[in-house]
Amino acid sequence: MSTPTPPDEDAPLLSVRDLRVEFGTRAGVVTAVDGVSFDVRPGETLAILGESGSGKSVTSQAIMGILPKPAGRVVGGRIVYRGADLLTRPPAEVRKLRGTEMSMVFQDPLSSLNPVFRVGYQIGEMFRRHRGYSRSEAREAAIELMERVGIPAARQRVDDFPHQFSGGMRQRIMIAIALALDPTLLIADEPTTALDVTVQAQVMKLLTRLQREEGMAMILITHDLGVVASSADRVLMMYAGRVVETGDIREVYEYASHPYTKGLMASIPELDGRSDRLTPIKGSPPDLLDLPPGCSFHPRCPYARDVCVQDDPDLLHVESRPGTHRAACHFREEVLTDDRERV
Amino acid sequence: MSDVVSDLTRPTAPATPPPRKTGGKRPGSGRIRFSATVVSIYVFAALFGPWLVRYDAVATSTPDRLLPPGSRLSDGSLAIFGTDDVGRDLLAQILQGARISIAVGVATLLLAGIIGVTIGVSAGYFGGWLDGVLMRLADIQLTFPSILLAIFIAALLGPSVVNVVIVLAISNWVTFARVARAQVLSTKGRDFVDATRTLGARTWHLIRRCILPACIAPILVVATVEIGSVILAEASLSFLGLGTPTSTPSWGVTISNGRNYLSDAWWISTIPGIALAVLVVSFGILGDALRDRFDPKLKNL
Repeated sequence: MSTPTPPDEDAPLLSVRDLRVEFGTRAGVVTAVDGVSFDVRPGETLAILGESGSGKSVTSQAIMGILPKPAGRVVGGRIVYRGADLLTRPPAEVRKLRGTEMSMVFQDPLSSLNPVFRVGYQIGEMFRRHRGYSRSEAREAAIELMERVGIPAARQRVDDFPHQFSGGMRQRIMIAIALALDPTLLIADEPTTALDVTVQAQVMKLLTRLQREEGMAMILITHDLGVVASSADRVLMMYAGRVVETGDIREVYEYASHPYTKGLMASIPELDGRSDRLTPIKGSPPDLLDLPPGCSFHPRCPYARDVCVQDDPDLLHVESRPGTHRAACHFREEVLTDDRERV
Repeated sequence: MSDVVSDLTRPTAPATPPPRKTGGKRPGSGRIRFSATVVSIYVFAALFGPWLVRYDAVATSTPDRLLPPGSRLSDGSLAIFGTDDVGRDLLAQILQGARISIAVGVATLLLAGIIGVTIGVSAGYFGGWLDGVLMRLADIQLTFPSILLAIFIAALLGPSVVNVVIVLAISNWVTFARVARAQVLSTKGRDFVDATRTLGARTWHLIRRCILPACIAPILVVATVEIGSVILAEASLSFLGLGTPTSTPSWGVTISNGRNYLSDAWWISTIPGIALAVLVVSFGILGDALRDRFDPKLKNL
C-alpha cells in the first residue's frame, strides 16, 4: 500500500468538518448537506445511512469532487485527506489522489462502465496510465484483478464489452477498476441497490473481503440497514442534510437515541414475528426548499415539544452511554430509555 | 434460486451470443444495400474512370462538335454520351466531374465535421457562457440562406475548388455542432463519465474516451445525410460560375455549358444532371436508412 506519510493509528484518514453543499435550482437554493462532520480512520468502515434526499450521496460526491456542475457547490467546511484540504488544494494535486488514493464504486453498474471499450481495456487503463504498464502487462494485470473479484473464466471474458456482462458481474468489474491501484479509501455509493438480492449479498461479501485484505478504509453509503449491520464499524445517520445520530454500529442499532433512528429500526420486519404489522415513520421527508423551523424532524416526531420547533438541536454525546455515541435530539436520553414503540 | 457459491463459479452469460440473423430482418437492409451499391459504383468510377477514359480540358476537336450519344468520333472511338460544343467526350467529362463532386463533398464534410464537432463538444461539455456564445453563433449562421452566403463568400474569394470547400463547410458546420452538442449533453451526465473522473482522469481524457466515442454514430449518420446536399450545392455554385473554375469540369460546369445548346444538344446538360440526381438520391436513401438503423432519435433532422 502506498503511504506518503507514516501511518498514524489515531489520526483520521479523512476528516470532514462542517461541510455545506448547496444546489441552485429554479425554485431556489437547496442546502443538500448542512454542517456535516465526520472522521474516517484507516481501515475502518463508516456507513452513511439515510433516505433519498438526505444528502448522503451528495456528501460522497463532494469528497470525490464530482458534484453536478454548475448546480451544486460546496459553500463551507473542509474535507481533509491526510492533512490536505481537498477543497483548497490545486485541482491538479487533488486529481492525482483520485483513483490512486481514493476511489469510488457507483450505484448503477449498468451505466458506470464505458460502453464502447472492452472491460479488460478499461481495467488495464488504470495500470497503463497511472503505473506506466505496457499493453500486455496491463492486460495480464486486468485478468488477475478480474479473477480476484470473482469473475469466472476471466481470461476468456477480458475482451468482452460491458453489455455482455450481468449487473452483478459489471459491479465486480467496477470494483476491480476502483481497487486496481490499491486505494486507501473506497467510497461505495449504494453499491448493491441496483442488484438482485442474492447478488447483493455476494457483492457485499466481496467488498468486505477485499477491504480486509487491503486494509483500506471504506465509506459505505446505503439506505439498507441490513447491509450496514453486517459490514460497517461505525454509522452516520443522516436526515434532511444533517447528521442526526452517529456512533459504533452495535451501539446505535441497540441503543438508538434519535427518534428517526428508532423509527427506522421499528420499521424493519422481525424474524420472530413479534408484531404482524410494520411500524412506519409517519409523514414524508421534508421539502429541502422549505425546511421546518427548529429540528427538521419535529413534524414527524412523536417526542416533539415546543422546544423542538424553536431550537435546532446540536449533535451531542448521549451521556448515559459510553464511547462516542452522539445524537442530535433535545430528548436523546428519553428516547434511549423509552421502550415503547411510539413512532 | 441457486446458492451463492455456485453462482460465483458459473458464468452468468453464455460465452457466445446466439448468432444474429443476417439478411433483410434489420431495418433498412435493402435500402442500405441498394444505395451503397450505387454510391460505390460512383466512387469506383470517380477513382478509376479518368484513367480509362482520357479527358483533356483544353483539347478541342471541331469535326466532333455536338454529336449525339452513341456517335462515332472522327478518330473512330465511340462517344457513348455524345460530345459537347467543342467536341470533348461527355463520358470523360462526367467521370472527371464525379471525381470533383465526390472529392468536394468528402472534403467539405471533413472540414465542416471537424469545425462542427469541435464547437458542439466545447459548447456541450463546458456549458455556461461558452455554450451560449457558440450556439447563438450557430443560430445566426442558420438564419442566412446558405446558398446566398456561399455566393457572397465565393464572390469574395473567387472560384476555386478549395474555396468551394471552405464556403460549403461554413454553411454546413451547424448541423454537426448541434448534433454533437446534444450527444455530449446526454452523455456527460452518465455515471461512467463521473466514474472515469473519480479515477483521476483529466478533462481532455474524458472528452476523448467518454464523450467523443458516443458522438461517432450520430455524426456519421449526419454526414451521410448531408453529403447529398453538399454535392448538390457544389453543382449549383459551379453552375452559377462561383464554384469550380471552368477548367475543372465539375458537373455544375458541364450542365452550365450545355444550357445554350438545350434545344439542339439536350445531352450536354441532361446526362450530367441525371448522374448528379442519381448520386444525390442514393446518398439521401443511404443517409435515411442509416439513421433509421443507428439513430432513430435524429428523425427530425
